[in-house]
Amino acid sequence: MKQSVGQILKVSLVIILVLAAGFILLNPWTRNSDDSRHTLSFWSCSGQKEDVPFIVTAFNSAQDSIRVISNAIPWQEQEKKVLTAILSDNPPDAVSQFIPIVKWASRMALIPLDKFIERDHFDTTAIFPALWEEMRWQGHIFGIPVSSASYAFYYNKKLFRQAGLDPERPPKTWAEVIEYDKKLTRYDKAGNIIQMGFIPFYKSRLVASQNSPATAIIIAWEKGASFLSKDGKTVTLVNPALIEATQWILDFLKPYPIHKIEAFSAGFGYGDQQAFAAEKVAMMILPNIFPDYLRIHAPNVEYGIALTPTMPGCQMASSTGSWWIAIPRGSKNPEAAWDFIKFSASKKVQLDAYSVMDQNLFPANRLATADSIFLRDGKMQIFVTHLEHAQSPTIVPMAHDVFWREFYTAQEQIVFGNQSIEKALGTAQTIIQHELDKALTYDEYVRTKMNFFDK
Amino acid sequence: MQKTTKNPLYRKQARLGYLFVAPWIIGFLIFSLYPIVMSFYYSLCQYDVLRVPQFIGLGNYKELLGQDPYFWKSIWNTLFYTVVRVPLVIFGSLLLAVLVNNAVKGIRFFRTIFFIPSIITGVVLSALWLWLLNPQYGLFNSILAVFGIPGPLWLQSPHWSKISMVLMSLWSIGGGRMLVFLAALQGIPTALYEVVDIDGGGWWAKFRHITVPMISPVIFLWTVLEVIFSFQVFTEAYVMTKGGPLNSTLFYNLYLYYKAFDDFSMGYASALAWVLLVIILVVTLMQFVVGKKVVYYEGK
Amino acid sequence: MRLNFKTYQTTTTYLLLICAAVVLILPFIWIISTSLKGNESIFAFPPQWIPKDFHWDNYAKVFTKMPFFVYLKNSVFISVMTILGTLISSSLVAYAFACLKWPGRDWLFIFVLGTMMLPAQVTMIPVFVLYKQFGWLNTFKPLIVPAFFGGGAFNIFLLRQFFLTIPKELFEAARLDGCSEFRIYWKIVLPLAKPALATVAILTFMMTWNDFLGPLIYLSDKLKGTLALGLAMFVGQYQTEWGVLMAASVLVMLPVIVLFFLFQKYFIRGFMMSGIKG
Repeated sequence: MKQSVGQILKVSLVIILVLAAGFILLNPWTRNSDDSRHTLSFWSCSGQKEDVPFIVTAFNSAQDSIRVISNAIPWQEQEKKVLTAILSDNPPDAVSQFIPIVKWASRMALIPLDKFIERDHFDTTAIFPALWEEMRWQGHIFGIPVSSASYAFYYNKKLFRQAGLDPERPPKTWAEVIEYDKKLTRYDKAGNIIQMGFIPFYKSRLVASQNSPATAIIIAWEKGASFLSKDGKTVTLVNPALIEATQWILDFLKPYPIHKIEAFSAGFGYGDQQAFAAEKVAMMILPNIFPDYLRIHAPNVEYGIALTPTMPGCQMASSTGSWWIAIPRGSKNPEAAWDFIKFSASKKVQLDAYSVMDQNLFPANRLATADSIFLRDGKMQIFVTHLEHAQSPTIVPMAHDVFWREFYTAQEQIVFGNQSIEKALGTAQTIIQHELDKALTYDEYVRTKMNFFDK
Repeated sequence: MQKTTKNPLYRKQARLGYLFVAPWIIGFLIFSLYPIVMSFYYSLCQYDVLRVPQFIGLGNYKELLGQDPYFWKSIWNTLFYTVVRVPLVIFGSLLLAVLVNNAVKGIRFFRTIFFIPSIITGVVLSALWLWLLNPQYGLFNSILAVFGIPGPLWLQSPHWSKISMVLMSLWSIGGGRMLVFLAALQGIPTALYEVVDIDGGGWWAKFRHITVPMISPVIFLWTVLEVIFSFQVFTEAYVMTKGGPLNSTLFYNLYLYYKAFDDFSMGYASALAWVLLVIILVVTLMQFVVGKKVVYYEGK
Repeated sequence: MRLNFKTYQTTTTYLLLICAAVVLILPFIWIISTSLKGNESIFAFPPQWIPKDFHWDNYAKVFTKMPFFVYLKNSVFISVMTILGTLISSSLVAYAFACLKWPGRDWLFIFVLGTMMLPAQVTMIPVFVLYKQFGWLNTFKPLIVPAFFGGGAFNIFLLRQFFLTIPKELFEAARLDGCSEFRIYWKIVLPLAKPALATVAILTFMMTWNDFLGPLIYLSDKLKGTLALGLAMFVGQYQTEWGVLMAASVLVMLPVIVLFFLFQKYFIRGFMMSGIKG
């Protein structure tokens, strides 16, 4: 018995030592206590050219009272980082992201900016309307777009010449796209596709190929489709415009067995293996970043930029998205953060950023894009026109990710020939509507429990 | 003598048993209990992480079992993956371990080479596999072409996408699995093999009659663990296919992830998690029942 | 005759080893080769194994684009502490499950395993909130301290299975000699389980070294980052510099490879045998 008591003591001692070692050794790493009076912490996403964003350097040198300290967060898991930062009650004072702002706004994670906008007479008309509308949630504005993505129709001049097409005359209608595509598509001896004119459903789920908007949605927008009722409560995916747009895709695909396109598009990859950069697809809708992308990865591609084709009698349509800056709930210094945001969105800073950053960032401020310095490069007018005709890809704000997952699933079912257009879109619509209903009931419940706007 | 509970030796062992296991129990109470309880509570709620949870009873469970098409789809995908993967991975890594258990010159170098694929992560992993599985120029189809076999579309085909994921995990068996088997093989007395040598038994006889029974506790370990891991497969699909094509790689945990972090339906995701826990628990208990009969413990 | 058989066996072994090695090393060679390329035709098909011109500057850029040595220090500290905590605490717990008899043991063991079965995605947020209550955010504590409390179900299970293969006579002999349980654990079981402990150490190291999500959500200061976190910073929406990213991942993988190579001396044969015979 005596021995067993000694033994228990011994084991306890080891355990205590181990646990103590754990805590003691960690002591030097306690919370740092920076004086935060004059600093403003700002998070942006990784992978931008400059380690410190241009607007931060510009702001820090433009005034003396506030010093912005910028921190990059990894692009891949940015949402988790921001989510946990908000939960920690110690978020950055300002944050910049590219995801739909409504994701945060609808969850009361951001401070509404209305009172700042009113007080400082912030010129809301200077921002492109499609970008501005994205910032709105239930009548309040939650962020300011600083730079944006605009799209255009890129085509490969060399491949056009090889196919006997005029390299200065890109297609103007979607019917012409089908026509051009037939001339631009090439096969090897075994009958495999080695080059295509256009791909209407660029695989958006494979990680390697995320940067082209969905052609069917673009065409549906041209035809005036609206996917969500005015009150935001009813989703309509089975609408004539989208059905016709999807029918166009099926018409386009008629000459091709689907497995051949699949085999062909499996060859797309990262970097220089992006379909357009690798000169595998001759026509694509791509963002304004692409001239720069091509300069880096495939400088020999000889390309032209044109307006996106249209259906007969329709107005052009395009997609967009913006890098907004917002102030998270729990920000220590919203006033300073607002000053920084206002500064970043101003015409002068946007123009400077544009010229320094080498076409990487497209201004969100229309006044900047109307400036002659900006329009020096002829291509820019095309992107501006696209932005004027753009609609937000945040189509069902309360069920954004579900919407796109279901849309792509439906599109896959249709092009694989598994389901009719109506059936696939109908299934998707039911699922999205169900998620939306759930989100709305939860939202109503939360309103009875938390009142954020009065605070 | 030892079986009676009144035995003082046994009582002493019992006391010490609790003491030795105390770090885990304390750790569980401090770090794990609260999150586990909360996740169960959330599974009974509508909850989006940033706002207050709304209690809805069994609503989430009813919905996922009754009307969610992706629940069954993802169960099927995961089950298929598990059934194909677990035997292949166990057998493959055991063979690899036997191979590197040879005390030939330069074996440390070979082991290191086999180990390397298991430490490649993230985007690099995804870029690498886009190359390996490229239907036209990839390594696999190039090798198949040498034998005149037309390779499949791999990730691009709903029929092969899950098999591609199995391949991805087979590629990295030189990591933990090979190591653990190797450590176990080191414990087998060489004298036992010499007996087979004397009897004139070959490589297979040694493997079948000595290696496998002697390390059966570790084979059992990996079978249980691999089933748990396979049911939770996530990374491969997340970095490569995002669930496509045609939701053929929408694995259970990937679907759960979409619910939790894309849709912010943390309540629903929690319900999915608890259903998965029950499934894995039942499968594991079944394995323990079977394992009691099959596994050979020298200690018993 | 016997000698011939041995030579034949060795030759076959080498043949198999070399075949497996060639297939398994290709990806790594591909990564190294990519890490030395410029942006143009970096992923060209079929792969260009030897770059046209060697971009050593990709490696230089890794050091200028992230505070490499600060991150290295952080990663090493977190890994070493985690390994230490895991080894000691998981072997203690595994000893209780494998070598001692006490009421409720088998049920508690299933319970321990059960903690592995709940997907971490749903406990991540409550765990985060818990550490926030502890005031541990933006410190290394959430990444290290839990390792000292049990070391995780995986390691406990692994060591338990190894401890179970130790012949029972050893324990009984030691107990009859009046050896205390702690002494048996320390002097008999741990030395016998060296290969298993080495395995736990290297696996824990791999997991901690590559862990991205933990450092991501718990650490916010730039200088508190880890290598895995720094690696993720090279990936952007469009501007991923693949050459630099590959160079960085080679640099991050290197310590793991070296350590693995060195650790193998703990996979020694025969130790156990002398234990049984003696």
